[in-house]
Amino acid sequence: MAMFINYLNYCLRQAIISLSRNRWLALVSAGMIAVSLAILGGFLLVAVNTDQVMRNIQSNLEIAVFLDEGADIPVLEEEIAKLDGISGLRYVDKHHGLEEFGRSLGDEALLEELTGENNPLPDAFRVRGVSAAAIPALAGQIEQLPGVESVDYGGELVKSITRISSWLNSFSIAVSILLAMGAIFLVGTTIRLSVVIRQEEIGIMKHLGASNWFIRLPFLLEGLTIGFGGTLAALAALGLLYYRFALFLIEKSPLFFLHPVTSPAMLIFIFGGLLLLGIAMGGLGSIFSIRRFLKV
Amino acid sequence: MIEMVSVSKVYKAGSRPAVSEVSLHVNQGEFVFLVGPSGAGKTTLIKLISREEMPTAGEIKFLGRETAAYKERQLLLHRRQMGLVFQDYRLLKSKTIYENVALALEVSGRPPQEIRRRVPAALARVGLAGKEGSFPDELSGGEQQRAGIARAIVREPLMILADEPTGNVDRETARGIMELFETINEGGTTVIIATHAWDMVDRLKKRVVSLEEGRIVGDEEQGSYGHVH
Repeated sequence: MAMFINYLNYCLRQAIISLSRNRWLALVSAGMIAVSLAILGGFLLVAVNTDQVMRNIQSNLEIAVFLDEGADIPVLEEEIAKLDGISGLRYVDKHHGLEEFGRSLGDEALLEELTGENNPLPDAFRVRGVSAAAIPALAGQIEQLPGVESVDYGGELVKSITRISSWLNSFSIAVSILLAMGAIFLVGTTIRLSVVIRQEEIGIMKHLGASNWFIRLPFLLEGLTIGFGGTLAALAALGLLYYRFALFLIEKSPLFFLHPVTSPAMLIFIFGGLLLLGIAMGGLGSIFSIRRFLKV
Repeated sequence: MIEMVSVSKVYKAGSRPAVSEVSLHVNQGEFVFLVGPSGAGKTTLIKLISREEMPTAGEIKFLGRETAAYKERQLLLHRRQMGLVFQDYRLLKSKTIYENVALALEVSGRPPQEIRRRVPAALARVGLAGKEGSFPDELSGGEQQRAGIARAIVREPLMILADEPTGNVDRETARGIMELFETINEGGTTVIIATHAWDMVDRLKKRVVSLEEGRIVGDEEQGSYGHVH
């Protein structure tokens, strides 16, 4: 154990000396890791937020059933209630419909002129399904019923969000992989440079009976430090940006479903995962570049 | 201590062997000069003993164990039991003399208090007390070689292997260095030196193994360089 601590002490000193000697290249490598992880992290945050928005929308998905003028409301209500997959049914006459619309706009005064005779809205039912997946079929059945003018459930919105988020996911994965590879390569170059600078020393150490791990560890620590430093910078920037963005949405967003992900568990998972990934990138870069120098 | 039986070393297939059919026995505590013209195989022999090179044929045993069969751990222990001294000193220019010598103990994972005790003692033994903080370039060739020797002895090895240790220094300095090796040998450490310095060899009257074209052509107790050149 004491021997291991002596080793570690030596390795740590060597890593610090080497980092300060190659500080500019180390900074560039750390910067590259920071940029690639900030982008990856940014994409991840967008992905979890899009997912949350989707779930918010789906869980609040209602079919608005607009009725013909003079439709037989009690009969229709009975017919709709009989359908499979219904979890809630509410009648909203045109007067209440206008009030709800006004509330959703945040300013009921705007609609004052549309009250009474001028109200353009039809009477409606608000229908909830047992699941989001059941909504399209349900909407189709309801539309066929006599007295129904039209139905609307935001289907197109859900479809486009799904499409955009899946496209965004693939794009972000591809960009992140490319950036990560670039960062690993750059860390590898930094480490290779310090290996070349210390090649004579490595040879002498081998003659003196140094184990491969004894030689490798300072370089590995160097790479890990670069990875750690870069990731920390990325996380600080990302954290600050996300905090501002989340605060803005919470305070200003008029739409119920546009709420940012603030669950500490999820954020710790993402930020912790990025930290591990950044450190691993630094480590990988150094392992690749020292492997072939050890055969003395 | 070292037992070589019919050892040959060929670096490139088809070329002349650097060492050919060499059989050599060295006892613990012996002082041996390896002499011969350039290309005679002295350096290769040193490298074979330190296990920097593996023999193409034959067998080398160190303390009764075949060196070719070492596992990685045994190879490290083998290297830690020897002190190597080079013609070009191989000191790290970016490190002080103290740090250069301490490196030998650091690679073996020795505790800091032991390093702080042993390094100044080794430097004092080679006559470099007070030069701890100097960098290699600030020292003369002779002093640098003394630092190289301090690094070789700081672990109190069983054997010192030196390849042309006086090749880069003047005669007066060379004499001092050889005397240092003699003192180290008197402490019980086996010393094997490959050298061209015929006057030193003749003066010290130690065992002399003469090589020519990779073969042993002479092996005399209290020998001299004379009959090779």
